[in-house]
Amino acid sequence: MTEKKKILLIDDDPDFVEAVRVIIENGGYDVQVAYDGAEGLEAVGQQKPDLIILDVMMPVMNGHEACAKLKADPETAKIPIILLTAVADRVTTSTYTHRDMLESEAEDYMPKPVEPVELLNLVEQWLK
Amino acid sequence: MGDIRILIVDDEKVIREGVERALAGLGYSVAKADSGERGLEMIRAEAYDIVLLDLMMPGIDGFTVLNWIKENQPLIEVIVITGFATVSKAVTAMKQGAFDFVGKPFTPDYIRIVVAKAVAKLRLQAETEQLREERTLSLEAINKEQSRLKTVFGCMVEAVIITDKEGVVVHHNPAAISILEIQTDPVVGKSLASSIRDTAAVEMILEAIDKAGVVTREFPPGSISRRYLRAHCSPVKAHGGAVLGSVTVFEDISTHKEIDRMKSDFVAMVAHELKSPLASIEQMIYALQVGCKYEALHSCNSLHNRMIVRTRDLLQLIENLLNLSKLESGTVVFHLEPIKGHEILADIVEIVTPQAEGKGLNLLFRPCQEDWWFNVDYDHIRSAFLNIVSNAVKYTPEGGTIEISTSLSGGLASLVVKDSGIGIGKEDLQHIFDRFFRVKGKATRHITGSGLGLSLVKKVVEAHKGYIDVQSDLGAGTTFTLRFPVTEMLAPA
Repeated sequence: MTEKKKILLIDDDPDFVEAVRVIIENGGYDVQVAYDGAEGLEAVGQQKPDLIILDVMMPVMNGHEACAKLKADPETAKIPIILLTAVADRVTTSTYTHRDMLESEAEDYMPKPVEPVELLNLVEQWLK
Repeated sequence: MGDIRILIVDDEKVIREGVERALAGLGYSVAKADSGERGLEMIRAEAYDIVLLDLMMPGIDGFTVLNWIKENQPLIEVIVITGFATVSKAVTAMKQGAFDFVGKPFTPDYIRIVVAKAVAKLRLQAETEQLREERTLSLEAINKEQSRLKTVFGCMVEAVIITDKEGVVVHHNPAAISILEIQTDPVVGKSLASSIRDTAAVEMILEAIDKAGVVTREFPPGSISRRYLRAHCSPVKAHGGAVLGSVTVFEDISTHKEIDRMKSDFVAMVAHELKSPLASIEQMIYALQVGCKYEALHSCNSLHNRMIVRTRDLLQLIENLLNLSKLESGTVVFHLEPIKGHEILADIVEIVTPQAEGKGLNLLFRPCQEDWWFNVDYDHIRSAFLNIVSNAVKYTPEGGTIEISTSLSGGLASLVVKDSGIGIGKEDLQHIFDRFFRVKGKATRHITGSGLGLSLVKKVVEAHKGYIDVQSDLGAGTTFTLRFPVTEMLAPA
């Protein structure tokens, strides 16, 4: 039996984290959770995950910052990152726009909430 | 001019009656005096237009009466009657201001002609006087109109610039200097370009003159001045249609723009606050769809419960938002009545006790000795107090203490809610009453709320002429102090 791949899920809403955890665990992965960017980096330092699902809007350290830090560190640069956002490019007044997404170094992004099959497909695709 | 009033002053009855007969039926009102004394008396007592005056009378003679009339009532026309018919006496009388003279004996026709001439002169004089009055009035009106316009122009909040057709300023009001931040002195007589550095404004005026039509434009801060300006430039045309110049009104719309921006920010903020919990709820529905096939029942129940909590929070948020909006627009009607302060607090303590006990909190209620009343809307104040006390329960970890105490001093009742909770950092404390502000961090992660509760509390407290104050130390606890004026109600026996 091959070892389960580890996914780190970082989002500041505990209910959202719990819901996504249930979905990913049902997809056959191990899930670690963190509730802001700084905590996420700490978790990566302790145990390197195979993939990171990262929310953009978070207190303390937001997703863009955390993503930039991970990509800047050669140790973690290769870990694929899927950015999650509730705003995507749909609200123009928001600070987070489509352009931000495109300029980010993350491998992919999905708007919140995430449809389970789509999320698992994306995860699978980046873990190949 | 009404009826002509005539007074006949003659010592001879025959003459008086003769003259009266001659003037009868002509629409004059005629009075008679038989002496100079009597004549003066009557003139003093009543108004006359024409006096037919005998020069030679015993006692006060005609000359004396004539002099008195010309000195005191110069508008009365005097026709002298003289039995001696000497030209010299008549001439003297005329020199002294008499209108004409009649020599005795006279024919009734002659009397009528002389009187008619005097009447014609009087009417002419009256008409002239009326015309002069009218002219004076209209001149006054013009003066008033001009000064009124000048006052309006000077008092206008908007900047007004008037130019000729070359764009040279011919007139401006005081507001123009301040709104357009003009440093040039004088402005009049120079091209507008030499007083305003922004070329777009000058172009706008030339365009209005050129097109002979109104041009409206907005100038963002930094172009003409530090304010956001909206300008309406309209050409001034002669009767023939030729453009003579322009009138431009600059309006300061900085405040409108700021309100607009705040409104969009607010809408964006509300949208975000509604979307975030909805996204989480939808995510939990997805999780239940896939999860409950495998997951332990416990996790499913927990997700169900959280969905209920989040949905309720969302409804509460909308409710709070509506209340806040009502409070801000001033449409809330407060039903003020004297309420016993300690009664409302005891009620709140009772409501939160189960929650506090569930968390193992020590909830203390320490009212002061004296009872006090305050004039408030029961429902609004109750929910404001409940909000503060519930917050204390929410943000105080297990085993902590919450103390609610009151005191009276200087006509104010103070209500203090002190907790041994997680506290609020200095940075966050200054935003604690801001709409949608919530302290974010590890300690508050699992505590939900709309971020509108304290905004609402502050509004309600202030609407009741009260004050709210907060002190906090991170990790040590938070103290909210509310003060209200007490009403002069003596404790019922």
